[in-house]
Amino acid sequence: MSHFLIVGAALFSIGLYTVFSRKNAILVLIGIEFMLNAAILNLVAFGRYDRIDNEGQVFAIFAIVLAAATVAVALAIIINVYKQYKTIDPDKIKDMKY
Amino acid sequence: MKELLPHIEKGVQEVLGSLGLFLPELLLGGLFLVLILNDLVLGKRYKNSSPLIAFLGILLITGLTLTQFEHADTVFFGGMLHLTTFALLLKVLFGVGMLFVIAFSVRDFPIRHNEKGWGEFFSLLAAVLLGLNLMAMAGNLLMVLLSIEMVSICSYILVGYTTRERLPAESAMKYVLFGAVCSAVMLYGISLLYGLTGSLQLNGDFAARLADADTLAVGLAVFATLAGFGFKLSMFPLHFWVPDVYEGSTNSVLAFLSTLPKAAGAGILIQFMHASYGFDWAVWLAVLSIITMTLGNFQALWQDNLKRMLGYSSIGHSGFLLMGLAAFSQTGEKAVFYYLVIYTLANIGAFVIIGLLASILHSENVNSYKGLGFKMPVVSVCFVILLMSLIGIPPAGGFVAKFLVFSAAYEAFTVNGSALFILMLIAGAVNTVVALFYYLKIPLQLFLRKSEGIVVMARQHLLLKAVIVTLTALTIFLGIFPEVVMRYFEG
Repeated sequence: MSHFLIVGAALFSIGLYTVFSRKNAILVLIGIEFMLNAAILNLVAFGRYDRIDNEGQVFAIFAIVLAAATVAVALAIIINVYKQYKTIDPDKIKDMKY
Repeated sequence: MKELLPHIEKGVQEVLGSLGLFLPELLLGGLFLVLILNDLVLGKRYKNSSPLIAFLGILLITGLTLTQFEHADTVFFGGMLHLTTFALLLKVLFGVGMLFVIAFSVRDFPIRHNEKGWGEFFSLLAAVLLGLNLMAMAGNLLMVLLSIEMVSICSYILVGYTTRERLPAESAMKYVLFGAVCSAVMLYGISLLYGLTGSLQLNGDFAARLADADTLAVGLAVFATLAGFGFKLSMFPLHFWVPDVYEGSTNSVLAFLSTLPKAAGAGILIQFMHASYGFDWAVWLAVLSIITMTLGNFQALWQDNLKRMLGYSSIGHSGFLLMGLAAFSQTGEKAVFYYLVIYTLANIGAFVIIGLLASILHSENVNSYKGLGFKMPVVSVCFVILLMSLIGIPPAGGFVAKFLVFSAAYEAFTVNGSALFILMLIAGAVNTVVALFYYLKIPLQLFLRKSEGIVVMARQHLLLKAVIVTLTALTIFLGIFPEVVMRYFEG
């Protein structure tokens, strides 16, 4: 049990670090995917001990589908950004003043 | 298999019994499909058919929601959805708000003249309304995730809907990346909550098990879950997306984005708070409230771009909402709902006016409004009244809303005697004064500065003007007769 949680926490931290450090929108998405998978791993691991039938596993399937939907939309938006700016570095895309 | 059969029968019975209560949402799903088909078949020939169908459909569904008040406080679909009075009122608010947004987008230039047509835009509005309704009713962590993601994904597409321009693309990318990180953190929090309680159902059982668990672990899990709600509410550490997304988005999308998801966020947070009342909500929400409102209002002071300014001010309004939520009482909930109604009406109105003026002046800068008050008197007067409502000056509804929130917070102070609540009240008062400064920049430019020879085109915007006047009238009406909304809480 605790092994799963440690792997999950490690995945989550790696994902968070990737999100904050990367200079490429696609890699940020990969970081997000790491975080989501950490959560999914947790859910499946906890689901093993649930009294009711497989709630955690069902939740994990929903989460996987939602992650795929989010990534599809995000990639479409990033393609559109690339068409306009010819770059997908979030730090370089700033037409708006801060 | 034999012993499962009675369970299946019971399950089917329950689902069939719940379908009646779920009718508005089912119809919304149907409306979504009808709008997509309509866009394929009739959309090219009759351009106005999509908004018309969307408007009539949502009007019908909102009317249907009004008949559900007799079923308030039922739990259905095996605890997936809780139809509380608060959720019902929120659903009506979403419907009404969405009607105004649709009426606005019909005349919003970037949407109307979008190269890819606008049929999908209205089908997305129907889909997002479905998500918002589910968010208001969510009674299970799975439903929490599903509904928040549904609203988020639709909102990402809406922000990036106009593909030919640079700013919306940038806004959409920032929004989608920030939103996806927030929902990933929320999912991690949910997985921890599931581990701590062994249940996904948000009910008394959940709260009891949460109270038994280790405090530090519960704190971590609750805060991670709060990331998802806070993103929708634009609460303090998760507000960074607001100014950029607001500046780049289309006005009609913004009229939706700044109001309805925030209301849904407040609704879902209330549901979640009820299911985890053991957690020290009052203190944490009070702290977040003080930081959020101070940050939003003070940063709004330096803005020239109206949309950016309203973005920061909407962060400030989130602070006030959190103040009502921190009270964590029946009075607090009432105050929060009334605040949400007034804020939604006034903010949609403000964005309609900004959109209308932008189509004439091609500028969203405050300084370009010089002397406009005498050329467009009706719109300008409405603008001033809506801004007064947002500040909280008496004749408009904003005053009553702020008053209710403050009194709810004071009542909470008399109950728990925490000095933090006094600090929050002081911060609220200071922030109201600060808000006066940046909001009053606009009437100053409209009425007191001389114009520099702007040509006002003779184009008539009857629909937009009707929307603006209706919203202003509603704001004043509800300000004078708050019971119209509040009486629903009595039953």
